Amino acid sequence: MRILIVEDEKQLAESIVHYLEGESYSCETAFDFDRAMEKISLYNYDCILLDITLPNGNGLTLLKELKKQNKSGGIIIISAKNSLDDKIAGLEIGADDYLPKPFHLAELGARIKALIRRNKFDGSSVFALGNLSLDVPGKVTTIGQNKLDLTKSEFELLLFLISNKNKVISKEAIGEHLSGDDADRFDNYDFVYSHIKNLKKKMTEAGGVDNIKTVYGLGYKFEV
Amino acid sequence: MRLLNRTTLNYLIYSIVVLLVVTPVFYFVIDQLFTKDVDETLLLQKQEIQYRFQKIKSESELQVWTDLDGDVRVEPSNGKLYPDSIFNLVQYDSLADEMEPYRILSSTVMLGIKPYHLTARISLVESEDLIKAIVVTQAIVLVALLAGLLIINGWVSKRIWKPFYDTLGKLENFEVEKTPFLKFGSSSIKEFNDLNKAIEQLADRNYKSYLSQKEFTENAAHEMQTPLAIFQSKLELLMQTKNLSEEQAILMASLSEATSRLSKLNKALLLLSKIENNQFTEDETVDVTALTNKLIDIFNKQATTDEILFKTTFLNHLSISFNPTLIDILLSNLISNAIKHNPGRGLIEISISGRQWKISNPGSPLISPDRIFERFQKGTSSHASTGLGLAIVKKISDTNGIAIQHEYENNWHSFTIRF
Repeated sequence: MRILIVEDEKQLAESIVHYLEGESYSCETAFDFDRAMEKISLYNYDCILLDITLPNGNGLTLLKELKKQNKSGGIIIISAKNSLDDKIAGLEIGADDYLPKPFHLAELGARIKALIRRNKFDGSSVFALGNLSLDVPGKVTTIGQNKLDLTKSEFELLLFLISNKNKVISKEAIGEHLSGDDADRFDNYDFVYSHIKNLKKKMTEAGGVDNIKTVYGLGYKFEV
Repeated sequence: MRLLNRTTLNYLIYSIVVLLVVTPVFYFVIDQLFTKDVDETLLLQKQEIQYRFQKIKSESELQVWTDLDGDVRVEPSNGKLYPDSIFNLVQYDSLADEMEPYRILSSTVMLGIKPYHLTARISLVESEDLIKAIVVTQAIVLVALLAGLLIINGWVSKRIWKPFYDTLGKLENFEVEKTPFLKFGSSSIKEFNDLNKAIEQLADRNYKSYLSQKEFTENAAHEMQTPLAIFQSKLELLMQTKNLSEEQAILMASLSEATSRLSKLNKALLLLSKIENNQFTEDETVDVTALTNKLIDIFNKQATTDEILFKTTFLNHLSISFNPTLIDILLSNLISNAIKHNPGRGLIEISISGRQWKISNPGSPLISPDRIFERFQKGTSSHASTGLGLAIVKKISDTNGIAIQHEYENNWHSFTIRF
């Protein structure tokens, strides 16, 4: 999987590369508009992370260029502006997702996974990990032959953990992911704890291995 | 008290004092002048009588003479000498057939060597009438003068002060967010022109500092996003390092929580400046009842962990025309606030009646209730809140012309919105 990261903040771009490299991704970076333009013209990427404000140009122009060249890869806009207008403009031109800064790398990881999954398998993908399988569109989880009866939040939580397998995910990243657009309304994410507890219980009851490890007070990790 | 009334009142008090003091003094002075005049006449009369006495030969002749003049009497004094004395006396006036006041001169005149007692009198009736007439006329003139002065002064003042009251009216309606520039008409009075110019400049400076403050908040919040994003990403990479010790993990947990708060604070600041910039303008019909139920559903996620229960009393269905984003934030912040300041295992009551939306929760009293809607006023507890929730609520209320009120009664806080 080839991923292009168009981001003028080198530190942030490096963080993203570092985080994604554990997966089966090959990441490239472009720190300015011209370099990004050159790369998208020359190569094909499975996913492009696009910052809107760039030296020498606007990310939305790049987006238009990508659409004009009829490139197949998914596009996620990462912007510091978090303005509704930018989001609407970006999605209208043809971006697949919009992630306002600051974001959790775990969230970015999950979004990239979801995007690639949608593009590669027309959304009909089944996530399999050992004897655990998740039918994402159907929201059905099975362990071996046993069907798991998960709530919507528990399913989202499991998918999020698996999307970032073998990574420590902070309580805040999980809380914000599960709250979605409502994240800003909450002052604490204490509810994450009870969701994890229930999920672990349901998984072990269905005969699965408890892969979810608690990392002290920091967060959780799905170990494979 | 209005400025005009104040100056007029001073004039009025002064004029009344002058009128009250001057009228009796005036009366007294005129009276004195008259008396002096009458006295001089009487003394002159005496001299004349004395002079004429030289021509009188006998007592019978004297009798005829005095009979002719009713106001002069000469009687033998039987050797007694009367010194000159002038006094007032009420005597019978045979012509008018009534008692009248007289000025009387009592003196001695000599006929040869024989002294006679002379009494000459002048009626004071006419002079008293005259004095009265003069004093009354003078009083009328004074009153007329005073009234005229007041009326003219009032009229002139009203015209002169009109620009001032215009300026005052404009200042009273001045809101830096809505009507940034103040423009006054020019007046013929220099002081008012100077005042207007000074106020115009002040308003202008006020608007500029308001703008720069607004821009600063917005820019600062924007500029903070990127370093915050870098910090958060590096922290997440740090979490992935191998053989993480418990000590390190706990430190990172605190960092992660603080970053999340910082990020929320930043978003709240941006939201506040967006509301100030009137970036939410389009109104739609919003079903407040349905929205409240939706929000309660969302917040139950958090509230049930804190063992908090919602109780709703909807007396009627409420729909209003409002910006959907803003009404969502408004109600959401109030519910979040009620959860936050609930002592735990408590109740939150939400009611709708008429066009009124009310939320109540138990809680301890506030240290400074009048500052409740100010930024970063965080009650008594040290919650991980941004301290901007109620400031945003107030800002939305103010910019959309709805009334919000906070009350504290029987250990319950309540916020009431009237749409």
